[in-house]
Amino acid sequence: MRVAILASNFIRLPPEPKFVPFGYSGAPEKIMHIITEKLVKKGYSVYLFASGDSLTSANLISITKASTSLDPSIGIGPHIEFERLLISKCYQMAKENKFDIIHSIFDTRSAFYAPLVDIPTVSTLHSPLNIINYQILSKIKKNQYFVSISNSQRKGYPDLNYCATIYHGLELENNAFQYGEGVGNYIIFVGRLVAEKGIETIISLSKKLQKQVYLLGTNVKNSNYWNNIIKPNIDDNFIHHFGYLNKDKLQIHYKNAKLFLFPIKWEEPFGLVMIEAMACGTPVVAFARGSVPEIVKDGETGFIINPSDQDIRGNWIIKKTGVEGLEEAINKIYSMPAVEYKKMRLNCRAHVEKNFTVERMVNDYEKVYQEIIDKNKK
Amino acid sequence: MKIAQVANIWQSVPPKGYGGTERVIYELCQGLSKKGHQVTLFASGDSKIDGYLSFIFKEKLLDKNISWSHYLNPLLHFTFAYEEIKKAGDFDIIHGHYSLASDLISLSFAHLNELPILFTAHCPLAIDQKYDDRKKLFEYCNRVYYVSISNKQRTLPLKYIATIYHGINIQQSPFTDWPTDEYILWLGRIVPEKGIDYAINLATQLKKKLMVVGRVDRENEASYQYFQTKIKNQLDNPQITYFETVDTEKRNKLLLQSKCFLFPIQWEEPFGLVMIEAMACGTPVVAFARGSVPEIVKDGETGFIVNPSNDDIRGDFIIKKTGIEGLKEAVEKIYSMPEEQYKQMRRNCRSHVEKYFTVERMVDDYEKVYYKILNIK
Repeated sequence: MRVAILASNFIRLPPEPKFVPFGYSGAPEKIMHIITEKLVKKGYSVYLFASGDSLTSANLISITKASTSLDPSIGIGPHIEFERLLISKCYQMAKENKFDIIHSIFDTRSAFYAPLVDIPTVSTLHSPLNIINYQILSKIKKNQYFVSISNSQRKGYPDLNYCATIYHGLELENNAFQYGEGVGNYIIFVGRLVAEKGIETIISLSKKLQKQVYLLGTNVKNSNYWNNIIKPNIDDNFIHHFGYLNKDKLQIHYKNAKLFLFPIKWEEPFGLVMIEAMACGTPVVAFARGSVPEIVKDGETGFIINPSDQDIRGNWIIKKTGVEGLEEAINKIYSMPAVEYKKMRLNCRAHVEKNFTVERMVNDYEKVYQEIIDKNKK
Repeated sequence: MKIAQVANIWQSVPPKGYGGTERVIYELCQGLSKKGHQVTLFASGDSKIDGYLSFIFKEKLLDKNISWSHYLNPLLHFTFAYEEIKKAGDFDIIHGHYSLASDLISLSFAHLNELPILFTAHCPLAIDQKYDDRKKLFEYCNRVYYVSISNKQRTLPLKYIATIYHGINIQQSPFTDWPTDEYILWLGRIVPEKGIDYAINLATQLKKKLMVVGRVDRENEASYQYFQTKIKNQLDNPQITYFETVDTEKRNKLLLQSKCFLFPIQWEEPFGLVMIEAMACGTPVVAFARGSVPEIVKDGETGFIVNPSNDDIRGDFIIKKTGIEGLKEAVEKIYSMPEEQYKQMRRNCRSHVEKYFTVERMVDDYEKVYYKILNIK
């Protein structure tokens, strides 16, 4: 099977921290990179469409030397035009019968091309859908399939050509994301430091409960939220900020954390950071929004909290809602007997090993590719 | 020939009111049908031509408060069009019409088709040459032929096959050599590029009546702010009569009865259909020598061409003053012309359009180009 992985030329693959611009997570690129490398290893003929500075064992096809986010003459905004050119190039090659399927990182941008060639495209929905994109994409049926990254992502958007839900997976081999014992006693958050992640809730809880907090992730430069709400609270007393760290440093912080706090205000489509934390043994305390109930096992790998009394998503162990619910969960974890806490950490690790590995993810994608190719031939 | 005409969906074909591009596409479709070609138009569902109409959007987007930046809708329309063309399998040629920067990528959709493709750009192709993304896009879409709508429009090294000036349906344009009214007419979208501020200043300084037909561009925040903060108050002036939109009948009447048409453009207008509409009615044009103007107006015969400024001299024209002073001199000149000389100028305008800017000539030119492309193949 010949597979085209259509990534972006905006962030290079793999998306090491210095290549990820402020305000971006790099998660979609991370996933596409892993899939690319695994497919090559499995013997597929793989073409990767990405920036020229990407590192890959696939056939790299690019139209820009560096990633456009690092090219000051392009930057955010105009980069879309270069993305489109890369997409055009990919579909031009599809027309010339260079591959059997395209796996796209894009939801809308590449979907417009899919009906115009004879091979199928499968797009992973890395971002939450919105009504504008949905209205467009629900009209594109021919040759265009979608993989949701959680079932919750489909809520309100039923009428797309879905072919599967494939949860993301983590690389657990080669010392990546090792299990740790949580000896650091601090609360950790990893991700973009933006309003929808509820960072201000983490800060106020830290102060109230007198717990150390490690915030790892990028801010949006000069955003009001960062400048006025987050930055003034970073004091290295309770609130520590580390930016976007590479994998080795990142996993040390995960391993030593008491718990991962995820008071999200939006419908997180997947939340790679939750499985990263659990892979290191760190339980997750999160609002029951988006994918959370599909990823965290309530009471076993952390606690799920209903966002408010008006927004009840499930019948969880913690009955209090909102910030009070988070508070109860945090206290519960901090006051757990050592044996019980250790058991929860081991559960976390086992949960990821069973359900959220790269191997499982790539197997799922392989299955989907084959199904779609067969379906398209009929 | 079986011809696919691919228009945009912001405005219907023909347009209701504003929409020069759609008027041209309409006349082209009608003209080709009349000549026995099988025309399929891909446009909004409220369009109407004598050939076939194919659409995914039932109504034009304009006036539905959809911002110009909502390019996803047009892109879906284009994908639909090219998918239909692929499915049909029996078109001889695709003629795409490009009128908005965000549509340009649809070139790469068209290019995925095997058929001969011709594009007419109704807007400038290189607004911003800072990035080489456009150049690269054109390089990819190397099977596409282009028609320019003026020679001045050719700013990029594309596969141009002809310049085809737009044409209008002259039978529907009234004519008089002696209007019953005396006013200066300005007609266009109220955006800085069209220079309405020059028209207002000129009318105020010369104490002349000014008729303004100005569509407020609510789809673009910057344009709307321009109207609200810079223009709106100035229109409240006893010398000025302002209409936001007028119907075709009123539009023709305004074009017919004006002393001159003022076109103080601040950009490189690729064609400027309204100039030939004015001249068809006999109304001379006073315009800055930007874009297509020197190709369309005959200086001293069908109006006057004025250099934009002393630092921007485009030609040796009758009026030597530049900028607003030049416009003023030209307008004064027209107002002070002896009756017979003014009437002659109006008759010149009409015959200039009859000779060079009719729908029939435009349709013939496109037909020739289609055959030429098919023969190259």
